[in-house]
Amino acid sequence: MIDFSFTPEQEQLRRQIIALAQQTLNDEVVERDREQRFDRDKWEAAGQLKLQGLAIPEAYGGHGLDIISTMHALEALGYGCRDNGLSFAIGAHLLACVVPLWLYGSEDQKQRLLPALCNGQYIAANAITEATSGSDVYNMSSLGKPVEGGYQLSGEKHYCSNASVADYFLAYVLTNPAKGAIGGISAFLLEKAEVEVLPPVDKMGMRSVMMSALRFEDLHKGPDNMLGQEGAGMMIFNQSMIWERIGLSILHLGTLQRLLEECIAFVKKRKAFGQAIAQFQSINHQMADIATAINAARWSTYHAAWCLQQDKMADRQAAMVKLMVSELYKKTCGELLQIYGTAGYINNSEIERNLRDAVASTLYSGTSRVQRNKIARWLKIG
Amino acid sequence: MSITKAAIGEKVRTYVLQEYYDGESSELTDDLPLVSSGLIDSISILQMVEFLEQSFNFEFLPHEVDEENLNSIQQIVEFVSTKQAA
Repeated sequence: MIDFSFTPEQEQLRRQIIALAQQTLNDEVVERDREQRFDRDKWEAAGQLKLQGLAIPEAYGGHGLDIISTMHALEALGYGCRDNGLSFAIGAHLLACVVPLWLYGSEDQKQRLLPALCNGQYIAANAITEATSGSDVYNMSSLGKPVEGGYQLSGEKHYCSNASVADYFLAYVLTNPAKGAIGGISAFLLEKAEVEVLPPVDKMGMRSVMMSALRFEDLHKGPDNMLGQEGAGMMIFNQSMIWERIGLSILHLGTLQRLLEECIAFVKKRKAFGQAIAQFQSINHQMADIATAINAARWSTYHAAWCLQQDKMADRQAAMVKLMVSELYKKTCGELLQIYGTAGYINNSEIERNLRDAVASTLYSGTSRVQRNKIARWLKIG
Repeated sequence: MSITKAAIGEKVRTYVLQEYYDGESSELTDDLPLVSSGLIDSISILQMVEFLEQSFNFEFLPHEVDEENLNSIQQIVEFVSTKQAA
């Protein structure tokens, strides 16, 4: 039986996160976007509430939340924090790096790294995409050649969020090219000093999260730097993407709820032809449709989180909500911009910045086409 | 109670015929490559993993989702039997 209510503890943490975001994370958002600047002080401030370690047990320095509570907290971050790049940086760090380290790391790896990854001291970056792989993510050329005492790693990864500010990388390489994705990929923890990180790329949106390429060559890593066992890379990455697709979806739904509330306040105040534009049915019906879509997507996302928490294969639910929410985010921002008119079209208005950020949401963590491919496979038609 | 290898094989064979194999059922031999032939890829392997976990009540460890364990009906039967005996 699914319980749709949130506990007083979950609601209290939600209020704390919104207050932290509004008081500490939201100043100079426009400047950070314009200058494509990541603010490490803001990252460390988010670490006060251990937002980077929401799902990690307290024994490893995390917040110790279950999956539903983690998603509720991320929704609060999306609602309170106007810097989508910073929110995304926290989400990618937590969901694609810290969670897999907790789930699949050795006791030594967890004790050594998780506390500083949870409290805002360290930043982690996921490194899997390559220049020519993209959506065919396992078609990689980075190699981990077995050698005496470990592996010799060489490769180049692209479009790694957080890369230029990261202390640690979770990098996926081929340790058995003959097997390919299914048993041939392994995950390694790399340190900042071991890789060459290229300058951040210039992007359309999400400009305050730093995205870079990185290189590593003839890097010797022992088995103690491997996450899980040899060949576990595909399943580790797949599980991390289930977490990330659900987590980033609920983050964006928090943002969408705030954008809707702000637009409702605007249409009640803005007058045309002698009345508030909220009085026009074309406007208030559009608001009703947006609210309905957000509500449906929100509970679908919590259902996906519940499936993950029940340890059911949440792969298809994660793909569905990721597709639904990222497309809804992009579409809704476009619709809200039309309501704001020219005021919304001006560079770095709240809705203009969100529209640019929303486009990115249909690309990262698997594009909308990739999600549709996965869903079609489950429907046995692809 | 553990299930016999023959019963595992029959259930897996029925599933492969239903989900992945478009050819004549008589041509689906127990040693026909499923992964290395491209019949099962990195997306559809997740469905196979879910089917095996639910049908035979065990959990894969991440590194066990490996071509060596899943490349043919015969290999799947051996792997499932080993997991059930563990």
